[in-house]
Amino acid sequence: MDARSRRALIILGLTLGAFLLSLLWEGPRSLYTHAAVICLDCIGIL
Amino acid sequence: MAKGVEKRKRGPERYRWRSQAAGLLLLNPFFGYFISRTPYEGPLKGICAPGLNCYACPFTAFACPVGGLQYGFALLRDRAAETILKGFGVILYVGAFLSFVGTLVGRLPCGWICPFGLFQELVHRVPLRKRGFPRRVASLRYPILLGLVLLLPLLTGASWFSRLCPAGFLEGALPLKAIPPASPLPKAGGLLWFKAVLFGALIVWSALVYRPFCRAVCPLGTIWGEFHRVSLFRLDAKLALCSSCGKCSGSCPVDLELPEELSSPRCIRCLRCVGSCPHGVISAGFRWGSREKVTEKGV
Ligand code: SF4
Ligand code: SF4
Ligand code: SF4
Repeated sequence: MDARSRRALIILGLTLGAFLLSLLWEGPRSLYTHAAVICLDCIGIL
Repeated sequence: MAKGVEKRKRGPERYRWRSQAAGLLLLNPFFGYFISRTPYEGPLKGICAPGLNCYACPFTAFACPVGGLQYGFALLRDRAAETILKGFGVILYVGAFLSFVGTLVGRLPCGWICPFGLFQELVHRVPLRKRGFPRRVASLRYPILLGLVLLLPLLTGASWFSRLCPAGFLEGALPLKAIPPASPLPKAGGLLWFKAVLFGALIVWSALVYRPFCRAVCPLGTIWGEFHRVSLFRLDAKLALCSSCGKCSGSCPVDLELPEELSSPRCIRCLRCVGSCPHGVISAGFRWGSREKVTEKGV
């Protein structure tokens, strides 16, 4: 395995850590509750 | 003929439009909206889309990662510790998604999945004289990412990129205006018209220049492009076979100097260069190491 692939694996490991931490702080759930309603900013209604 | 509308495709790029069409349908499969007039609210909405696909679109099943990132930073402005932790949760969740996709494939979704990239390509087919794209304009994408997606939401609690986003106008505002939802939306103000003007300007720009939004504005492409130095999906060149004929550079729709700039963050991973080289110098794929003598150059 070359240095670049090793770096990629380290980043993937950190990514997994970030994902697990996000579960602790309700990241997916909060994103869901935000995304499930129509985003008024996106459609130009303030 | 302009590079962006090249007709005969060789190599993997032959399959690209099918993949883009599939991406459009897979990310926006909720045709039930025609009957229910209520946008999709199922669990997939908690998962980020691999592309700039507005979550205000009534047909989409996924969340836009750029919208999600802004929302996370906007939550940090709150006073309540619980909300701030939620903000960190969203930032880490969306950040993990972006880093996962970026580390695996870099900007491959830009070339092969993203509906807004496809939209710009279709507009570019309008038969007008094509214009060049000054390289320094591409640097705008960094202050846009830092200012509109990270800093301003953090300081003001509002999603400033979304307020100006032309994908939001195309995929959210237009379909919701054409087919209004069952529960009526509040009345639109001047911002909608401002977005309409920006969207119109982008249409003109896209007709003249290949994918200008992807090259100068999009925060998603900007983030994924930075992973090209490490991504497991790579473009490689066997430089010993290169005759310096320039056909690869001539085919690249975003005007990269090839084969030197194969790892540039500006590459949208369309893979056109792979099929353009008469000597098979450029290849693409997942690599864990260099068993054969492959050289990769450039940033
Ligand atoms: S850079 Fe273009 S193709 Fe890539 S995510 Fe952004 S709009 Fe889509
Ligand atoms: S097309 Fe192939 S041979 Fe020609 S310059 Fe590019 S890599 Fe070299
Ligand atoms: S270098 Fe150019 S032609 Fe090759 S994949 Fe990237 S954008 Fe496409």
